[in-house]
Amino acid sequence: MIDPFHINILSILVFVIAAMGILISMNNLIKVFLCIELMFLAVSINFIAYAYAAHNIDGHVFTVFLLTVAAAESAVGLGILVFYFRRRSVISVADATVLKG
Amino acid sequence: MIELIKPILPEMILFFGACLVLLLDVFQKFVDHLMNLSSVLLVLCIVAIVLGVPDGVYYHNLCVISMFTGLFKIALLTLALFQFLATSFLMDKYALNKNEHSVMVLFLIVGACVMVSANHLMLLYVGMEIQALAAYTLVVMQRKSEYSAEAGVKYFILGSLASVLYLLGASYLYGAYNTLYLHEIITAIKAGSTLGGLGSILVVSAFLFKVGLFPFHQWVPDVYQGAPTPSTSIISTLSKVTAVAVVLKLICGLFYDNKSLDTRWIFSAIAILSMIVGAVVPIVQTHMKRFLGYSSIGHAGFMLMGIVNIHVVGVSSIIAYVLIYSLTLMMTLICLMSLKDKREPDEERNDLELSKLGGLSQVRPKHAFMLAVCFLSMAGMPPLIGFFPKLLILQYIINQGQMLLTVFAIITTVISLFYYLKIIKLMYIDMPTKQSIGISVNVNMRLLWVFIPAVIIQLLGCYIPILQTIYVQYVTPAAETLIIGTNEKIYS
Repeated sequence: MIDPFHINILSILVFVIAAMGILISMNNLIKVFLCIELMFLAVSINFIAYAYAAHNIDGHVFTVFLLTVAAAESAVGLGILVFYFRRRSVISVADATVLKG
Repeated sequence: MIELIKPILPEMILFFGACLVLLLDVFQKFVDHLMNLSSVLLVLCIVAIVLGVPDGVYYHNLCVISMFTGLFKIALLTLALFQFLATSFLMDKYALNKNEHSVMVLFLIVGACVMVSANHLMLLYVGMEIQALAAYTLVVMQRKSEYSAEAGVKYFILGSLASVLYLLGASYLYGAYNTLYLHEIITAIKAGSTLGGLGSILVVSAFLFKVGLFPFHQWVPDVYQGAPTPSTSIISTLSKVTAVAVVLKLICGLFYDNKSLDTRWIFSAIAILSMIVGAVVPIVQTHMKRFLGYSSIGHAGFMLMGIVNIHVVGVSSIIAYVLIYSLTLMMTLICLMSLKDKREPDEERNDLELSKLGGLSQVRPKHAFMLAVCFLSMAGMPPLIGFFPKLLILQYIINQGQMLLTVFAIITTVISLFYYLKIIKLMYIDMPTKQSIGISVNVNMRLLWVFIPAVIIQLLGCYIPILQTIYVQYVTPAAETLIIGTNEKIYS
């Protein structure tokens, strides 16, 4: 029998994979954005599992909102990425060292 | 129909007004007047809040209107109005499209107002994202600057991580209590559960990120420095005021009278470490906006001390602190903005090097005086208004017997006085050099209309009774709505 606890572990696993992904893909902004999207999805799994177990619709609605907002967020993020690439001709976060001190 | 939308009338005015401004921006005829239109919208919105619906909950408990939300919304709108009036004739120096800028500020305020009055975790999330997306856009608005680009990338990545933290926390709270309404969670959390405790800490820490407190403070100096100065002044004041409002709402709700979860030591540690960062790091900074960013971390830590033991007095002194500090910071940044001369955007980084302020009092005496007043006010010198909230918070933590916090607060305040005085020495004692800013600037005389009210506000600290009246009549009741039996009174 699968209960929310097992789904919770799955979501934490996906979350940790995404976090590791951000750490090891610092040379490529697109990969970082992908990992952030993966984190959003990990959280959505969590919401759906709890909503399903409690027979409560709120979690499902939250997931729909979450996906929509995440799409808007990645649109803005890609805009910033294009802007960054035009100015710096790289898409590596590791090279973002102009601001320091 | 009008009854139906009355509780969210301010947000509606702002949202449709922002769309209208965006639409009119394409007509050459209107381009020069749109900043004034935005200011009118803000005034309309303040009127709508003052004459608005009575306190209570609306839309099936989704939205709360209370003294607290009213106070914070009016503060946000007033700050934005101040910025619009002061900068409408400064924007051309920045290679910014001033109409796009004001549209983004209006959207940011829509998100902020939604956040302040939200009573539902999903609504809070949507408000937070509206506000954050507008803020990311504001940072990258200067199209020719690579500093702006880099600050935008950093802000976006770290900001998305913060919203993911919030979502994870919200999902645990939902899993523990099967509801997304804040008031139901607040009632249920008193019983205590591991999942709920974890969720509430994650949710609060996402907003601690937005305030820029110690473990999550890395973005603050980078974004402050990289963003064009008009955007810095919006992000450092409006976003911070909103985040403080939400942090107060969440902490007072989730951790007040909560036997199962003792958060006092966590908040003490965060406050002390933030104050240390804010006291030590600015000493070695050479860039004005970076310096202000680091010192704002210290101020945030100072504020957080008021909520270590949750009590009405502490909360109301935090509200007073954040409002007065934001106003002072905005004045400082407007002053710096007016010193900019028209060069290539990428030179802006060098424009605000601290060394270029040398001898400012001889070149631009009014600006130097204004900056000196603002810095002394931030340091908490008695005749100025910044002294008042510092006194309130220190008095409160001494009364609570938090001796460790008191000692750290006083030491860090003294150190911060040192670096503020260092800048004043730079402006008043050093000689101007060829690099000094302000030599080649034609200062627009309309700035006097900003400077005179600003100095009057700063000098209000001389006249304590009027501050006391405002504090007792507006700020304390606002804090009371957060704590004393709000749940039972409103939702029954």
